[in-house]
Amino acid sequence: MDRVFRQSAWASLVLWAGALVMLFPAVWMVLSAFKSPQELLDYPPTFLPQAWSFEYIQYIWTERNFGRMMLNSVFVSTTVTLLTVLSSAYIAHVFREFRFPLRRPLFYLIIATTMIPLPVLVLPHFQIVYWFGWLNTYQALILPYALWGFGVFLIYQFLAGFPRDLIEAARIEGASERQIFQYIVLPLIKSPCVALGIITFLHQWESLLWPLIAANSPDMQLLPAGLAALSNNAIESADLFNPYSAALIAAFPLLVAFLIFQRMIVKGIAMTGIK
Amino acid sequence: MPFSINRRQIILSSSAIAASLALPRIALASDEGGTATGVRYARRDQINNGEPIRLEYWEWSGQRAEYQRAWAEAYSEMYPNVEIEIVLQPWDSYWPSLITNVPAGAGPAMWHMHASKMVEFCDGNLMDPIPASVADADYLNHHWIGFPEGAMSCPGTGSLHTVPMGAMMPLLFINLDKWQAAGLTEDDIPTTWDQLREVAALLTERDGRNRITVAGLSMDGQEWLQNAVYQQGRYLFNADGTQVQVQNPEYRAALQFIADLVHTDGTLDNEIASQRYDGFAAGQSAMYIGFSWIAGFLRANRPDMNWVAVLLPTPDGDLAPAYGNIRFAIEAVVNPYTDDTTKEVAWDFWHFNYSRDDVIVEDLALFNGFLPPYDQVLGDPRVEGDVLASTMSPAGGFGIINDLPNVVRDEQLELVTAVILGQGDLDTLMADSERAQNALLAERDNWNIIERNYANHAMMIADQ
Amino acid sequence: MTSRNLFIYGAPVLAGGFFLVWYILPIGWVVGISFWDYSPIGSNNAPAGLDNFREALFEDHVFWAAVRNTVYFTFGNVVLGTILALFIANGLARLKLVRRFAQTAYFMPTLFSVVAAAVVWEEIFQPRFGILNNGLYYITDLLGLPPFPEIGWTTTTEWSMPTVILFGLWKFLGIRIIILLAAIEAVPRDLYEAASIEGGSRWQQFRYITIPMIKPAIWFVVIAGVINSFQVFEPMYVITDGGPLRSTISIVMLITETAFERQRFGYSASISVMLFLTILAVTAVLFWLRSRSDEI
Repeated sequence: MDRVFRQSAWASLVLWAGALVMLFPAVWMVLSAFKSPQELLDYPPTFLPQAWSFEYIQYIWTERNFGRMMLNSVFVSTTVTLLTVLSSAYIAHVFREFRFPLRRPLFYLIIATTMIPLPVLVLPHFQIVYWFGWLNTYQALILPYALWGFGVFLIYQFLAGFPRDLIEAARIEGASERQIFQYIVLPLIKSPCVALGIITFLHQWESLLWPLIAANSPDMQLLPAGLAALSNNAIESADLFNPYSAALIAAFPLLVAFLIFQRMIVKGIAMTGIK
Repeated sequence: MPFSINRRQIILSSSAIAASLALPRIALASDEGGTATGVRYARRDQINNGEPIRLEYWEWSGQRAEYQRAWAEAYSEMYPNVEIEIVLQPWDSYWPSLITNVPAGAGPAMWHMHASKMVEFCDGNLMDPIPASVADADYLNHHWIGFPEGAMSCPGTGSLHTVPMGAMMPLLFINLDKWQAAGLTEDDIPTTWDQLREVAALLTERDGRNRITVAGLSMDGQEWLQNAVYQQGRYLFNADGTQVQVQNPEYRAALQFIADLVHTDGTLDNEIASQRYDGFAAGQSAMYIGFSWIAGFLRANRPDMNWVAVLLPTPDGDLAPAYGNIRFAIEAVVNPYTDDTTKEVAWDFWHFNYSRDDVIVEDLALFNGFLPPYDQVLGDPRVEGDVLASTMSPAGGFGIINDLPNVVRDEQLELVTAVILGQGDLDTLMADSERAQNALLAERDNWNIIERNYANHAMMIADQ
Repeated sequence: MTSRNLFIYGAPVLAGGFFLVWYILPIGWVVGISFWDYSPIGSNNAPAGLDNFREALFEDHVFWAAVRNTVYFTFGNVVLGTILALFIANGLARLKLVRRFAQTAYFMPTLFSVVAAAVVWEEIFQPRFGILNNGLYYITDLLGLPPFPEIGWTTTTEWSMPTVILFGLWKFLGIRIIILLAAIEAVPRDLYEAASIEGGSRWQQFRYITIPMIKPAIWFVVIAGVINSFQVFEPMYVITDGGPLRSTISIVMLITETAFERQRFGYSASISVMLFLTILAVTAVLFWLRSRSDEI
């Protein structure tokens, strides 16, 4: 059967060539991150660094606060991911399992919020955070994204396909609702939860617009916002530094995670794409 | 490299500098007080009752952090309980960060201020008024060059929040290696626009594909525009500072010059123009027009580069009616929203620094390619011996002090880019730009336009 | 309240409270403020009626530039991106040799932090001194081909948007391929077997088996692509900063610039409202098209 479902030789070649093109920016980034800022000005450009040096990465990490930003990014992305997954699972479970007043309208409301583009909410979110005096705080970065209508929807759909007899059995055994959720439902929906966690983490890690506005002080900045500010070398800045070194720091953790957990990540993304 | 610049036979010395030289030098006790600022500092027994305190001090430029750290160390040596940390923040996030943090009581104790942001920070009350111990307005009035016409105080209230670290002027930077390779000598240094175009053509290099690899001349287009318009006796704004004036022959000539470089002479193109001073530092252009702080950048980042800076060419070689724009770089600012103890220590830190002539002269001014704007130190051997300072000083009196609103700056840069890209005829582009700039200016009442305080106002075009 | 009730009613309260505070009230606030001159920091706040909308629609050429650019980006990114992803996903599904390597390469940009990638892209695409133009020239020169011309990727108004679109293709190709590939792998293989016995070419297999079978996934890629592209911000913010001459400013860029640089929240809100309505309308049209295509 595999003989039929297969590629012609030239098409394979095109695919492999395309793969190299896709990889090039990453390769170029790694090579260039070890060059000196002066070497980057050379023309014609050098391919390999004249001398491999960690100095420029170290400079960005310490002098340009990227160490602190890394900490912030990891903390915010992780917290948002945990909160989103747990609250989405909890809410989806309750909405599926129980009947209570306003259940339907509330559920449709949650689904409807997924239609609101996040950039449209940036102004009011800024206003709220400004009123509360929360600019440059972790709560400003985390709270607006602690729950996601799409997450509730995704897990609800998975739950809808599962038989309820396990839950009923546990209830007869005298398990509390929290225990049922924790020990029976959560393990059942592990894979959609992992999928939701992966895409939530990806979104958060890359997120630029809101962190740019909500947290711009040196000790609260997240990596993308800090990187964007550093690379937009304003005419007044008068600093020579290596933008590749900064990009490498910001991109490195997820690229490594991808190489290790590729299968899981790809599966997770594919799962959230199937509606 | 012995490269003496004696091109202007008649040194048209600045009225301000001339006036200052005529003043009797006030002898100050130099061991505890600064000659420059008249600020004296007496060391205290202790500060903040000897209890530990930590202050943040923000800066956007990495190279300046070096001397700022040295100040912090010098201060901590006197008062070991005080720790001052220099925090670097890139320009793009620096200002939004201050504007949101300071009113929330979360900002740094002090930060490096920029003149172009003064109006906005005055509006928001984001700067603590400067105490008399750090800056005596009466003394400054007499000894700070440009104090009356520079209007450093906040518009409306007249309160003073900061003092300048230096005056900067536009200069023509020349890559001497390329200059000599083209067979040029010091006699060829251009003084008129026409000469500038001629040497730019000689310096331009092309590769086998006829692409420019070294542009003869590049510039920050916005700065060129501002200086070139002033040089022809034209102001950028109308008399009451509410609108720009773009559609006039002088503005047109300034743009035409750039259009000629790109479209007629072929000595500059869009790729190199978009690189700006980085491009000059990388050897992508042989000459560059920009403000004198670029000297500080080149010294720090391109120590091996062989360059010289000379006065800008003017349309016909004269400094009158005007030479160009003077901008003041300013430094000391303290956060008004921090607690009183922090404020006290912060101002004491500035008080200490402003009493030290080496800080004023070497760190703040000369290191950055600025002229110290205090008349008492102009005769200082370090200033007199500084090539850049002595290059700039003849033009000092012909500089027009003004820091443009950002909206105008951005639109001017757009206009120059449109000219370089050939996006239409000059008159249409100018008309469009004038409309756009005025629409943006209309969004605010007082922009604090001070260009008409110019000392040689009488030389400018009348009734404009 | 029993712990059971607490558990049950906690969910609607949590969900209701959260979405009320962070979605429903905010969207109401945006709509309200779009009829005002408003800034949270400034003091001269006053009702403006329809002025903000009128200014955007009839006076502000930057607004129209942003609309044009956003539509341009959406069109390029979705049409080219989907077609490219379809062919590559189909190819990868059939690839036998070193498939894992190829797959990793195509998925990699998905995990490449968008800002970091854009920073790298900006350097690579620098027309005179960047590696792309110089590299292409070097290769054509080496092969004795006519020299590759210098393209002003990031610095000319004609090429700036194509460059941003290319970035979008590269960055978002992986996620599209993942979804389409999963759908293709789910197509029963015996359909192809049958087709090959009847002498169907690879193209015919692709056209008459693969495409119809994975239509829902294609629609998903298209609709998600359109919704996301209308909100595009990061690529142009980093690579071109909206320039040169506003040729790459997007609607979301304009929204943030207007609000946070010019302190015009009301005006910015009116643009936000129009963006929201446009996305709703376009999505509705796409869903309608999808349901119609199902009937045919």
